Amino acid sequence: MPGRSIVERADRALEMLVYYASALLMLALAGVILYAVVLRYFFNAAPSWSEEVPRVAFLWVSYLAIAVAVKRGQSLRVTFLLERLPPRARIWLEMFMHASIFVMLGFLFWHNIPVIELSRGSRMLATQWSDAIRYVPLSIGCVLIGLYQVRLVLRSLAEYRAARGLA
Amino acid sequence: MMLAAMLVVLLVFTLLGMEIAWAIALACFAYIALSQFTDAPTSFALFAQQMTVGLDGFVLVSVPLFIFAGELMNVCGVTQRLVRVAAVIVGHMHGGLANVGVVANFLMSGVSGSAVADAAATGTVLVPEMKRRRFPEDFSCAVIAAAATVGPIIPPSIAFLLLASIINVSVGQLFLAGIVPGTMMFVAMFVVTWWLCRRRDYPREPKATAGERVEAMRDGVLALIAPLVIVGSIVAGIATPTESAAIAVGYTLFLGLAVYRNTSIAAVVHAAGSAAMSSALVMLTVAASQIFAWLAVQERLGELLTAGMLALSDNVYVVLALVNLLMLVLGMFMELVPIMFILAPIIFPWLAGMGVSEVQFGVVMVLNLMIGMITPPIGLNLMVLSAITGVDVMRIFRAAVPYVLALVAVLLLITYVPALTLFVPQLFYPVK
Repeated sequence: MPGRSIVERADRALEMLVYYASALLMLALAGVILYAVVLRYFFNAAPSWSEEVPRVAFLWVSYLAIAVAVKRGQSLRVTFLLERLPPRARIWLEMFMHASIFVMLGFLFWHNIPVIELSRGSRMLATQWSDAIRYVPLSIGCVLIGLYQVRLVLRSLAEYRAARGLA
Repeated sequence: MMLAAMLVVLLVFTLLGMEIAWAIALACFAYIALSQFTDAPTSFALFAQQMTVGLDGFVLVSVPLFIFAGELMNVCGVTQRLVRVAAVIVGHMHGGLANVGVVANFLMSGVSGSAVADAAATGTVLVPEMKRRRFPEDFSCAVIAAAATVGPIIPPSIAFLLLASIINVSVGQLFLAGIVPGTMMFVAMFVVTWWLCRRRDYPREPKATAGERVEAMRDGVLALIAPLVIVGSIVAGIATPTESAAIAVGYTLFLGLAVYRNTSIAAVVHAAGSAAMSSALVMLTVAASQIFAWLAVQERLGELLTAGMLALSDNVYVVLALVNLLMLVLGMFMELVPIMFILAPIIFPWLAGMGVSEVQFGVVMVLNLMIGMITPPIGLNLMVLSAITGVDVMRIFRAAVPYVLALVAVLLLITYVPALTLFVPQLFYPVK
């Protein structure tokens, strides 16, 4: 698209990739469970993986979709206190909150590495997938949410500067 | 000391406007960070591990699927059909479109399990119409916000699914236990709306002809039987709650793609994406709340709480009143999910020891927290309607006060008359 920087296009492409991956995983989640119900009731052949696969898909869809929800600001927040603060105090508080989440995500990412390492050796019963497949989504989610936290900080700063410039 | 620090972090971040899931996770993080300076530090790796393990249950998979079914109801035209059925049945009575909203939410609650989703769906359709008919906009928002609280009481219910996973009670029993209280809520809100609209002389709709009624019922019959398919499959033992959620998705898709033929694949994918995001935020709250509850139990919050209440009285009726009061107050400041995950493991075993049925109290707890959804400062239904219409949250709340009182009356009835909740499940299960 003309006028858009490479960073903006990459940002949009990443968001779309994660959004559609979450949507398709959600459809797959419903499809797999329905398929298992049909096999069990009409063909008396319940697949052994009918619980494991949806559980894994659910973990992936949750941590991927949280990142998109964070980027799109899709949460309901109580901002009555924040809105009563002067702009400068407000921006500092917003920064503090984003930084707190960012630090926590860093800790979660770092301390999830040994969990993934430990679980790599064990296998899930029915699918024989590595257990690590259950713990990887948290790390990916931490990276994506962290990226979007940085983006939110930059946007808040830009809005603050624009408001000051106008004033 | 550590418990106090955790509670203070939660309170401060919530008041500063942080999303509740992050505020809870940060409170846990602060606790674990502080514990590193004590003799018994809690591992950060355990925190990371629990963020995954807390979500790794098959019952929890039903939550995104019920949210997806709710999204599909709007996309596939099920919501509009249910609103039309409600309009031809009650539109001409006192209450007009306001009671259409009450009836439509009651009908929708049989497919969707989320009060917020129902409030958003019916609010988007009905509030602009009510404004056009010269209903005051704060009243229009209040009716829809209050009517949507019936969603998580009538089965299927995401709140009951989560509660069943916490206290290890049968989902089927909880679902059936919600039928009578949910119907009582519906009747109470219908009567309040009828009375208010009659007193204030709010407009009514023209009476539908017999032909219009038959046409609306014929068009909506497949949407109306959806609750029977969903709840029936669980109670009859045909499907687990998670499978019934997938059946709800499949059935709604079947209606949209094959029967009504009004749904595109792109719209279905978009609904799946929206549902993924909505449910992901709920799931983040679930994961963080479980860790919070675990740390709170470790710090003996349960013992402190029960000792405090027992110091006031050991009479079961007084204790039930105190627990109700506690949950009503907490419900004003927190969302349903964290309160359930933090309080349920503490309160349920204690009340069970006093002879209170877990199934009955499960319904009481969810109704308490539903009232919290229409009370400020954190009343999610008020906030959703405010976001849709731009009407101030406090204005909506003031208009919703008669509904809050009606719901509190229902709450007292189901708290002190256990048969109201236990009668239906006892027809199918040996419920204590």
